[in-house]
Amino acid sequence: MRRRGMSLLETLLAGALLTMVMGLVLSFLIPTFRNSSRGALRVEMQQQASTTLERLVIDLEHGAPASVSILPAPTGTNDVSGVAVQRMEGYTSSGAQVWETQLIAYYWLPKTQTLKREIWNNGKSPSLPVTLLDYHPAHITRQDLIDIINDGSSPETSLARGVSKFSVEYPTPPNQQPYRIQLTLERSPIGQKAPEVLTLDRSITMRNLW
Amino acid sequence: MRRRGLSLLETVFASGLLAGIVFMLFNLYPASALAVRRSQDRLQADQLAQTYIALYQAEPFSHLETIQGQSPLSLPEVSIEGTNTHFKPMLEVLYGPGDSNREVLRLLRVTVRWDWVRGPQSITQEIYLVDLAN
Repeated sequence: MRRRGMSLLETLLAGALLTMVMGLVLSFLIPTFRNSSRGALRVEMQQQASTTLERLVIDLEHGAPASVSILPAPTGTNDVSGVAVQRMEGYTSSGAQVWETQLIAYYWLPKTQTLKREIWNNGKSPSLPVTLLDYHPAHITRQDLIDIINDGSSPETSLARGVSKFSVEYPTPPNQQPYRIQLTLERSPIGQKAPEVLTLDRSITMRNLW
Repeated sequence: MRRRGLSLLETVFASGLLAGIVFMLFNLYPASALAVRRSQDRLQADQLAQTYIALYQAEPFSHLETIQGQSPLSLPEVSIEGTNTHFKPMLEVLYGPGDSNREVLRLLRVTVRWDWVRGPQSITQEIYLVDLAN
Protein backbone atom coordinates (compact mmCIF):
# COMPACT_ATOMS: atom_id res chain seq x y z
CA MET A 1 0.00 0.00 0.00
CA ARG A 2 1.33 3.43 -0.86
CA ARG A 3 1.16 5.81 2.13
CA ARG A 4 0.88 9.48 1.43
CA GLY A 5 2.61 12.13 3.56
CA MET A 6 0.94 14.95 5.48
CA SER A 7 -0.61 17.78 3.50
CA LEU A 8 0.40 21.41 4.16
CA LEU A 9 -2.94 22.05 5.83
CA GLU A 10 -2.48 19.09 8.15
CA THR A 11 1.04 20.24 9.05
CA LEU A 12 -0.16 23.77 9.78
CA LEU A 13 -3.05 22.49 11.86
CA ALA A 14 -0.78 20.16 13.79
CA GLY A 15 1.69 23.04 14.36
CA ALA A 16 -1.08 25.35 15.59
CA LEU A 17 -2.45 22.63 17.89
CA LEU A 18 1.00 21.92 19.28
CA THR A 19 1.59 25.65 19.91
CA MET A 20 -1.74 25.90 21.69
CA VAL A 21 -1.03 22.87 23.86
CA MET A 22 2.49 24.14 24.66
CA GLY A 23 1.06 27.55 25.48
CA LEU A 24 -1.47 26.02 27.83
CA VAL A 25 1.11 23.84 29.54
CA LEU A 26 3.58 26.73 29.90
CA SER A 27 0.92 29.12 31.17
CA PHE A 28 0.36 26.62 33.94
CA LEU A 29 3.99 25.71 34.53
CA ILE A 30 5.58 29.20 34.56
CA PRO A 31 3.54 30.53 37.51
CA THR A 32 4.10 27.20 39.23
CA PHE A 33 7.88 27.56 38.86
CA ARG A 34 7.64 31.18 40.02
CA ASN A 35 5.63 30.21 43.07
CA SER A 36 7.89 27.30 43.77
CA SER A 37 11.00 29.55 43.83
CA ARG A 38 9.08 32.07 45.95
CA GLY A 39 8.10 29.28 48.35
CA ALA A 40 11.66 27.99 48.56
CA LEU A 41 12.89 31.51 49.28
CA ARG A 42 10.24 31.98 51.95
CA VAL A 43 11.26 28.72 53.65
CA GLU A 44 14.92 29.75 53.57
CA MET A 45 14.05 33.16 55.04
CA GLN A 46 11.98 31.56 57.80
CA GLN A 47 14.84 29.23 58.70
CA GLN A 48 17.42 32.01 58.68
CA ALA A 49 15.27 34.39 60.71
CA SER A 50 14.23 31.85 63.33
CA THR A 51 17.77 30.45 63.71
CA THR A 52 19.21 33.95 64.04
CA LEU A 53 16.61 35.02 66.55
CA GLU A 54 16.99 31.84 68.61
CA ARG A 55 20.75 32.27 68.70
CA LEU A 56 20.48 35.89 69.80
CA VAL A 57 17.83 35.06 72.42
CA ILE A 58 20.01 32.28 73.87
CA ASP A 59 23.04 34.61 74.08
CA LEU A 60 20.99 37.40 75.66
CA GLU A 61 19.39 35.01 78.15
CA HIS A 62 22.89 34.01 79.27
CA GLY A 63 23.60 37.68 79.99
CA ALA A 64 22.12 40.22 82.35
CA PRO A 65 20.92 43.78 81.69
CA ALA A 66 24.29 45.09 82.91
CA SER A 67 26.22 42.84 80.51
CA VAL A 68 24.31 43.83 77.37
CA SER A 69 25.49 46.80 75.28
CA ILE A 70 22.85 48.04 72.86
CA LEU A 71 24.55 50.00 70.11
CA PRO A 72 22.08 51.64 67.70
CA ALA A 73 23.13 53.67 64.68
CA PRO A 74 23.08 57.45 65.20
CA THR A 75 19.57 58.80 64.52
CA GLY A 76 18.90 59.47 60.87
CA THR A 77 21.90 57.52 59.58
CA ASN A 78 22.04 54.24 57.74
CA ASP A 79 25.11 53.06 59.58
CA VAL A 80 26.13 49.88 61.36
CA SER A 81 24.24 48.98 64.54
CA GLY A 82 24.36 46.06 66.90
CA VAL A 83 24.30 44.53 70.31
CA ALA A 84 27.10 42.98 72.38
CA VAL A 85 26.68 40.64 75.31
CA GLN A 86 29.05 39.26 77.92
CA ARG A 87 27.51 35.96 78.95
CA MET A 88 27.43 34.52 82.42
CA GLU A 89 29.37 31.29 82.79
CA GLY A 90 28.01 30.15 86.16
CA TYR A 91 28.37 30.63 89.88
CA THR A 92 31.19 30.09 92.33
CA SER A 93 30.64 27.84 95.34
CA SER A 94 29.97 30.99 97.37
CA GLY A 95 27.21 32.05 94.96
CA ALA A 96 29.07 34.83 93.12
CA GLN A 97 28.41 35.19 89.41
CA VAL A 98 31.22 34.20 87.03
CA TRP A 99 31.31 35.88 83.61
CA GLU A 100 32.87 34.70 80.37
CA THR A 101 35.90 36.72 79.31
CA GLN A 102 34.58 37.09 75.79
CA LEU A 103 32.06 39.32 74.08
CA ILE A 104 29.49 38.11 71.59
CA ALA A 105 28.69 40.88 69.14
CA TYR A 106 25.75 40.88 66.74
CA TYR A 107 25.86 43.62 64.14
CA TRP A 108 23.81 44.65 61.15
CA LEU A 109 25.44 46.17 58.08
CA PRO A 110 22.63 48.04 56.27
CA LYS A 111 24.70 48.57 53.13
CA THR A 112 25.18 44.84 52.51
CA GLN A 113 21.97 43.94 54.39
CA THR A 114 23.76 41.26 56.38
CA LEU A 115 23.58 40.35 60.04
CA LYS A 116 26.73 38.90 61.56
CA ARG A 117 27.92 37.44 64.84
CA GLU A 118 31.46 37.85 66.06
CA ILE A 119 33.32 36.77 69.20
CA TRP A 120 35.95 39.00 70.79
CA ASN A 121 38.26 37.80 73.55
CA ASN A 122 40.49 39.68 75.95
CA GLY A 123 43.88 40.46 74.46
CA LYS A 124 42.66 39.85 70.92
CA SER A 125 43.10 42.45 68.20
CA PRO A 126 41.83 45.17 68.24
CA SER A 127 42.79 46.14 71.76
CA LEU A 128 39.69 47.68 73.26
CA PRO A 129 39.65 50.17 76.13
CA VAL A 130 37.67 47.59 78.14
CA THR A 131 39.00 44.49 79.87
CA LEU A 132 36.54 41.68 80.36
CA LEU A 133 36.57 40.47 83.93
CA ASP A 134 35.13 37.22 85.13
CA TYR A 135 33.66 38.84 88.25
CA HIS A 136 32.08 41.95 86.70
CA PRO A 137 30.24 42.41 83.39
CA ALA A 138 31.37 45.14 81.00
CA HIS A 139 29.81 47.50 78.50
CA ILE A 140 31.33 48.53 75.19
CA THR A 141 30.67 51.59 73.07
CA ARG A 142 29.57 51.77 69.45
CA GLN A 143 33.12 52.77 68.48
CA ASP A 144 34.43 49.57 70.14
CA LEU A 145 31.99 47.56 68.05
CA ILE A 146 33.12 49.32 64.87
CA ASP A 147 36.77 48.59 65.79
CA ILE A 148 35.93 44.89 66.24
CA ILE A 149 34.16 44.80 62.87
CA ASN A 150 36.93 46.63 61.01
CA ASP A 151 39.75 44.63 62.56
CA GLY A 152 38.46 41.39 61.10
CA SER A 153 40.73 39.17 63.19
CA SER A 154 37.93 37.61 65.27
CA PRO A 155 35.90 34.77 63.83
CA GLU A 156 32.64 36.00 62.37
CA THR A 157 29.56 34.17 61.20
CA SER A 158 27.11 35.50 58.68
CA LEU A 159 23.68 34.78 60.14
CA ALA A 160 21.22 36.27 57.68
CA ARG A 161 21.14 37.98 54.29
CA GLY A 162 18.61 40.50 53.03
CA VAL A 163 18.14 42.01 56.49
CA SER A 164 16.24 45.28 56.07
CA LYS A 165 15.76 45.91 59.78
CA PHE A 166 17.44 44.75 62.95
CA SER A 167 16.98 46.35 66.32
CA VAL A 168 17.23 45.52 69.98
CA GLU A 169 15.49 47.95 72.31
CA TYR A 170 14.59 48.21 75.95
CA PRO A 171 11.89 50.34 77.53
CA THR A 172 12.96 53.57 79.18
CA PRO A 173 14.44 54.02 81.75
CA PRO A 174 17.45 51.97 80.61
CA ASN A 175 17.97 48.39 81.69
CA GLN A 176 14.29 47.77 82.28
CA GLN A 177 12.80 44.61 80.92
CA PRO A 178 11.71 43.09 78.60
CA TYR A 179 14.04 43.65 75.68
CA ARG A 180 12.43 43.81 72.26
CA ILE A 181 14.10 42.32 69.19
CA GLN A 182 12.87 43.10 65.68
CA LEU A 183 14.22 41.36 62.63
CA THR A 184 12.94 41.93 59.09
CA LEU A 185 14.19 39.99 56.10
CA GLU A 186 13.36 41.23 52.62
CA ARG A 187 14.46 39.33 49.54
CA SER A 188 13.26 38.90 45.97
CA PRO A 189 13.31 35.59 44.11
CA ILE A 190 15.64 35.49 41.09
CA GLY A 191 14.02 37.24 38.11
CA GLN A 192 11.16 38.68 40.15
CA LYS A 193 10.77 42.17 41.47
CA ALA A 194 8.21 41.85 44.25
CA PRO A 195 10.11 41.02 47.45
CA GLU A 196 9.16 38.52 50.11
CA VAL A 197 9.06 40.17 53.54
CA LEU A 198 9.30 38.35 56.84
CA THR A 199 9.22 40.18 60.17
CA LEU A 200 9.85 38.50 63.49
CA ASP A 201 9.18 40.47 66.65
CA ARG A 202 10.15 38.98 69.98
CA SER A 203 10.58 40.17 73.54
CA ILE A 204 12.71 38.52 76.18
CA THR A 205 13.15 38.90 79.91
CA MET A 206 16.58 38.18 81.29
CA ARG A 207 16.50 36.14 84.44
CA ASN A 208 20.08 36.90 85.49
CA LEU A 209 20.37 40.18 87.32
CA TRP A 210 23.41 42.26 88.18
CA MET B 1 -6.03 -1.64 5.53
CA ARG B 2 -9.02 -0.32 7.31
CA ARG B 3 -8.03 1.58 10.49
CA ARG B 4 -10.52 1.76 13.27
CA GLY B 5 -10.78 4.79 15.59
CA LEU B 6 -10.75 4.79 19.39
CA SER B 7 -13.57 2.95 21.10
CA LEU B 8 -15.87 4.79 23.51
CA LEU B 9 -14.33 2.92 26.43
CA GLU B 10 -10.79 3.96 25.42
CA THR B 11 -11.86 7.57 24.99
CA VAL B 12 -13.58 7.66 28.38
CA PHE B 13 -10.57 6.00 30.03
CA ALA B 14 -8.11 8.43 28.42
CA SER B 15 -10.23 11.44 29.41
CA GLY B 16 -10.53 10.16 32.97
CA LEU B 17 -6.78 9.66 33.22
CA LEU B 18 -6.09 13.13 31.86
CA ALA B 19 -8.63 14.71 34.23
CA GLY B 20 -7.05 12.85 37.16
CA ILE B 21 -3.55 14.09 36.30
CA VAL B 22 -4.75 17.69 35.80
CA PHE B 23 -6.67 17.54 39.10
CA MET B 24 -3.59 16.23 40.94
CA LEU B 25 -1.40 18.96 39.46
CA PHE B 26 -3.87 21.69 40.38
CA ASN B 27 -4.05 20.30 43.92
CA LEU B 28 -0.27 20.17 44.25
CA TYR B 29 0.11 23.78 43.19
CA PRO B 30 -1.48 25.53 46.19
CA ALA B 31 -0.57 22.80 48.69
CA SER B 32 3.11 23.72 48.90
CA ALA B 33 2.40 27.47 48.95
CA LEU B 34 -0.17 26.94 51.71
CA ALA B 35 2.24 24.78 53.71
CA VAL B 36 4.91 27.50 53.54
CA ARG B 37 2.43 30.18 54.57
CA ARG B 38 1.14 27.98 57.39
CA SER B 39 4.64 27.39 58.75
CA GLN B 40 5.27 31.16 58.66
CA ASP B 41 2.09 31.78 60.64
CA ARG B 42 3.13 29.16 63.21
CA LEU B 43 6.57 30.74 63.49
CA GLN B 44 5.06 34.16 64.09
CA ALA B 45 2.48 32.79 66.54
CA ASP B 46 5.33 31.14 68.47
CA GLN B 47 7.25 34.43 68.65
CA LEU B 48 4.09 36.19 69.81
CA ALA B 49 3.46 33.65 72.57
CA GLN B 50 7.10 33.88 73.70
CA THR B 51 6.82 37.66 73.69
CA TYR B 52 3.75 37.63 75.96
CA ILE B 53 5.50 35.17 78.27
CA ALA B 54 8.49 37.56 78.45
CA LEU B 55 6.19 40.52 79.12
CA TYR B 56 4.48 38.80 82.05
CA GLN B 57 7.76 37.37 83.32
CA ALA B 58 8.91 40.96 83.78
CA GLU B 59 5.86 41.79 85.91
CA PRO B 60 5.89 41.48 89.71
CA PHE B 61 4.52 38.18 91.02
CA SER B 62 1.67 40.00 92.76
CA HIS B 63 0.45 41.19 89.35
CA LEU B 64 0.12 37.57 88.20
CA GLU B 65 -2.08 36.87 91.22
CA THR B 66 -4.32 39.79 90.17
CA ILE B 67 -4.51 38.51 86.58
CA GLN B 68 -5.37 35.04 87.83
CA GLY B 69 -8.73 36.41 88.95
CA GLN B 70 -9.52 37.46 85.37
CA SER B 71 -8.05 34.32 83.76
CA PRO B 72 -8.51 33.33 80.93
CA LEU B 73 -7.75 36.82 79.69
CA SER B 74 -8.15 37.72 76.00
CA LEU B 75 -5.24 39.90 74.85
CA PRO B 76 -5.48 42.40 71.98
CA GLU B 77 -5.53 40.93 68.47
CA VAL B 78 -2.21 41.21 66.65
CA SER B 79 -1.60 41.55 62.91
CA ILE B 80 1.92 41.03 61.62
CA GLU B 81 3.27 43.35 58.95
CA GLY B 82 3.32 41.74 55.51
CA THR B 83 0.63 39.16 56.26
CA ASN B 84 -3.13 39.34 56.64
CA THR B 85 -3.30 36.87 59.49
CA HIS B 86 -4.90 38.08 62.72
CA PHE B 87 -3.55 36.39 65.82
CA LYS B 88 -5.76 36.17 68.89
CA PRO B 89 -3.69 35.60 72.01
CA MET B 90 -5.15 34.44 75.31
CA LEU B 91 -3.47 34.35 78.71
CA GLU B 92 -4.16 31.98 81.56
CA VAL B 93 -2.59 32.10 85.01
CA LEU B 94 -3.05 28.85 86.92
CA TYR B 95 -1.77 27.15 90.05
CA GLY B 96 0.99 24.55 89.75
CA PRO B 97 0.32 20.81 89.38
CA GLY B 98 -2.13 19.60 92.01
CA ASP B 99 -2.47 23.17 93.29
CA SER B 100 0.93 22.74 94.96
CA ASN B 101 2.92 25.68 96.35
CA ARG B 102 0.05 28.08 95.74
CA GLU B 103 1.86 30.94 97.46
CA VAL B 104 4.94 30.91 95.25
CA LEU B 105 4.22 28.98 92.05
CA ARG B 106 2.15 29.90 89.01
CA LEU B 107 1.73 28.39 85.58
CA LEU B 108 1.60 30.98 82.82
CA ARG B 109 -0.04 29.71 79.64
CA VAL B 110 -0.34 31.68 76.42
CA THR B 111 -2.51 30.31 73.62
CA VAL B 112 -2.46 31.99 70.23
CA ARG B 113 -5.29 31.27 67.81
CA TRP B 114 -5.74 32.25 64.21
CA ASP B 115 -7.96 31.37 61.27
CA TRP B 116 -6.64 29.35 58.39
CA VAL B 117 -8.18 28.34 55.07
CA ARG B 118 -8.40 24.75 56.31
CA GLY B 119 -9.79 25.54 59.76
CA PRO B 120 -8.72 27.31 62.95
CA GLN B 121 -5.16 26.88 64.21
CA SER B 122 -3.57 27.36 67.62
CA ILE B 123 -0.31 27.00 69.52
CA THR B 124 0.28 27.01 73.27
CA GLN B 125 3.37 27.96 75.27
CA GLU B 126 3.67 27.48 79.02
CA ILE B 127 6.11 28.46 81.72
CA TYR B 128 6.24 28.02 85.49
CA LEU B 129 7.06 31.14 87.46
CA VAL B 130 8.31 31.12 91.03
CA ASP B 131 8.08 34.06 93.41
CA LEU B 132 11.71 34.30 94.47
CA ALA B 133 10.95 37.08 96.94
CA ASN B 134 9.08 34.56 99.14
